Amino acid sequence: MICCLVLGWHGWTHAGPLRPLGIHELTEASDVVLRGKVTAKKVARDEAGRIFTTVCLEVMEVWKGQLEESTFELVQSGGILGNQRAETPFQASFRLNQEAVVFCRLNPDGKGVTIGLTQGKFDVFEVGNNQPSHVRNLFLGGPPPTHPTFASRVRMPQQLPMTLEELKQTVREETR
Amino acid sequence: MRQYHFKQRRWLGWSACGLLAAMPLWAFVSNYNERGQHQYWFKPGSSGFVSPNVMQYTSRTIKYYLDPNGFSEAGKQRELDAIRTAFDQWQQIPDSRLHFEEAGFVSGKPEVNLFDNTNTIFWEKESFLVNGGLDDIRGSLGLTFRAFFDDFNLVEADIVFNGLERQWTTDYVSPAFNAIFVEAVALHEIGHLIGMEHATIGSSTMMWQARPGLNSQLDLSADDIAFVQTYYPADGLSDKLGTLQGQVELGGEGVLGAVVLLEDTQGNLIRGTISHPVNQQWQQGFYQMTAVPPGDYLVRVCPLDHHLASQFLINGPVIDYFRFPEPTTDFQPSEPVAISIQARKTTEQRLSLQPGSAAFRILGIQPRVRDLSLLTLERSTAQITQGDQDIWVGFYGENLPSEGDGVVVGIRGSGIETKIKQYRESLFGDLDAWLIQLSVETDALPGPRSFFIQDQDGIAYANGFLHVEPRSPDTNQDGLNDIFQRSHFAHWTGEQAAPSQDPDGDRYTNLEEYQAGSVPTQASSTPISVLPPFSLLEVEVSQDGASILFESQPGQRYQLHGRHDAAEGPWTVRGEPVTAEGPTTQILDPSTTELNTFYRVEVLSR
Repeated sequence: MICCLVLGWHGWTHAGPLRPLGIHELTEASDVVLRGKVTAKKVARDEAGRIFTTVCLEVMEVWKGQLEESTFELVQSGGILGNQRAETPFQASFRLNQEAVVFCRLNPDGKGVTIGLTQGKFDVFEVGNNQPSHVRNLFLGGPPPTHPTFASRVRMPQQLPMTLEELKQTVREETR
Repeated sequence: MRQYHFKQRRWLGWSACGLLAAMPLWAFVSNYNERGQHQYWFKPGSSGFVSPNVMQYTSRTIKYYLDPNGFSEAGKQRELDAIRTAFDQWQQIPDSRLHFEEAGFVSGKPEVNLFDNTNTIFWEKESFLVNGGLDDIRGSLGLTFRAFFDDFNLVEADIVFNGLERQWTTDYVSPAFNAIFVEAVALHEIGHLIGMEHATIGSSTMMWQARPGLNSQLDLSADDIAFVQTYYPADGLSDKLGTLQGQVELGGEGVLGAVVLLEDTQGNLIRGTISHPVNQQWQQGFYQMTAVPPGDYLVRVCPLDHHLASQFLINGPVIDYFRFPEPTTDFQPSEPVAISIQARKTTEQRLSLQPGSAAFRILGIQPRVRDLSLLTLERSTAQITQGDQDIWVGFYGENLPSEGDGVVVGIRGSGIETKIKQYRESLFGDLDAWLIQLSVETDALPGPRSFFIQDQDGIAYANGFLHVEPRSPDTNQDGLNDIFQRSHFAHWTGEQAAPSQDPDGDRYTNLEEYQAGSVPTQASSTPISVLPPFSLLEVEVSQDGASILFESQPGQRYQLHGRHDAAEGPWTVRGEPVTAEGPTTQILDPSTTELNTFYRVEVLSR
């Protein structure tokens, strides 16, 4: 019985809070994909009283969509406002001066909203030794094999190390 | 102008994670502020500021509103019933004081808004953009948004299910492939609503993910129950239970994000929690488990998967994206330490670790299969049942040790006999597999077990990623088999499903119908409509299936039913109804080719 194996590859099952979004899906759902640097964050309330944060990015490259300004604003629920605070698990977090690639749709106010919460943001990081910048989000990308963390990693074919340039080319191909 | 009900400082949160309580008490995984105040409902003092439309402090009741549209037009009643059932399960936890009240239906289009003094539960079916256009929930299954004061007293919550890119089902007998089982996800999200975070045990309802359809999230684990008993206890319960706490340390330093596991003396997993970052209340690496029944236990420590690992079972960010973004993982799993818990006392136990990186890790699970002809790779718990014989489970990982060289592969815990163990190299991509054939004792303790693999370089675990299901579950302790109730009632914890009820009006109670094997929601199906066993004349098994010969009345219609246990479990329909043409009739059950099924024949109405 065991001699005749038919191996079924069903992939990872995801009935958890997040289903991994591929780059194709992220790109397709986005009005704007850009590489930028965080220059400011501000917190306010909307008309219904919701606390939200606006993240200002200095645009370094636009990979999808058209922007006339050199800065881009995206919004997300949560933040600290006076003595009140909002937290959003799986919300993308942004640090000042951090470089990131963001996949955003535009809401009715014309502000960017990251696709799939944190999945719409890729951190850009350096790996040293004159190697190109790499990117990763919660599920995709990561450091190269020479990186110290690689020893504890296992990757599926769709979860290879990813450089910033590779991500850019993939997005560009998806938008053609 | 909008009136804000809240008069205190208020923090807002929304999540697919959970939160907790006031004193520094917990097991499981909780949320807390910098003063060590945990997040939960009904905190004295601040609770007086919460809208009575959201909760009632004196009765410990949280109110909720459902969107009457459910997920689907055809199934909305069952879908809403499944949510009600999930609430029932949480409030039926023994020795607890937590109540929910369905206060009504949402009027108009539901929306996430933590300032409307309404706990709203709904399926979003029109747009991924929710919460006033602030969040895109694409890829999410369900999200629980929570609001809380600065003392972390919960004051409002909304739950949204993704109705745009997922299919949902309430069919317990034959759930559609890859459809999400409403009750399981509702149970999970309600766990967040009352304050829980994602768990460190694979089979917990609060595990960050599970397989679609029926899964191990469907029944509350000891971990989940302990949370409610800790933060919503019945009077006097705390006098009966004890606490374990201490620090996880490595080289004299507190360790952030180490998984601490509590087992009984046979290695059966009971609880899991995580060591916490420093704050005003405790040191780095502090851990605590509360509501522990007195007795002797083992406690051990394991690392989470690395936060940069693309494949993982549980890593820091999926437990709490903000609190454990980069937990410490470069240490070896510890040896179990024997401890003793006494009622009303706190047992202090420092847990020291040895440095080192794991030589291998378990990164995937092979769910239960009868044979090895179809293997799948999952990240969710493998479920086995008391009395299972010769079934296969297993696990996957990169560079797993093969046979020989002192390699030990097994299952930690009691009541499971492991038989054949097979190593397969590079079964899925670079992932090696260990497949284990096992049998489960009929009286094996229900609950989680842990896979492990060990060689001279170290040991790796998959904690709680194997779960023993009871053969005849009765989690709501009403005296009726849950499987029977779930098979026939969407709101199986409700009054209609109670043992003494007769919802189809055929003068037979649900209990009588269960014992006879008839259908409790169909008046034409009664205990007397089932043929007596001696009417079954012959059962023959061939490659085509099992054929059953029985005494019949010409012109009468019959339906075959089968199950795998003579005394317990739900009957399922086998084959098509047939009309008898003579004094004996034969029905084929094409789904069975082994002699492991018990049959009955139902007499259908003409």
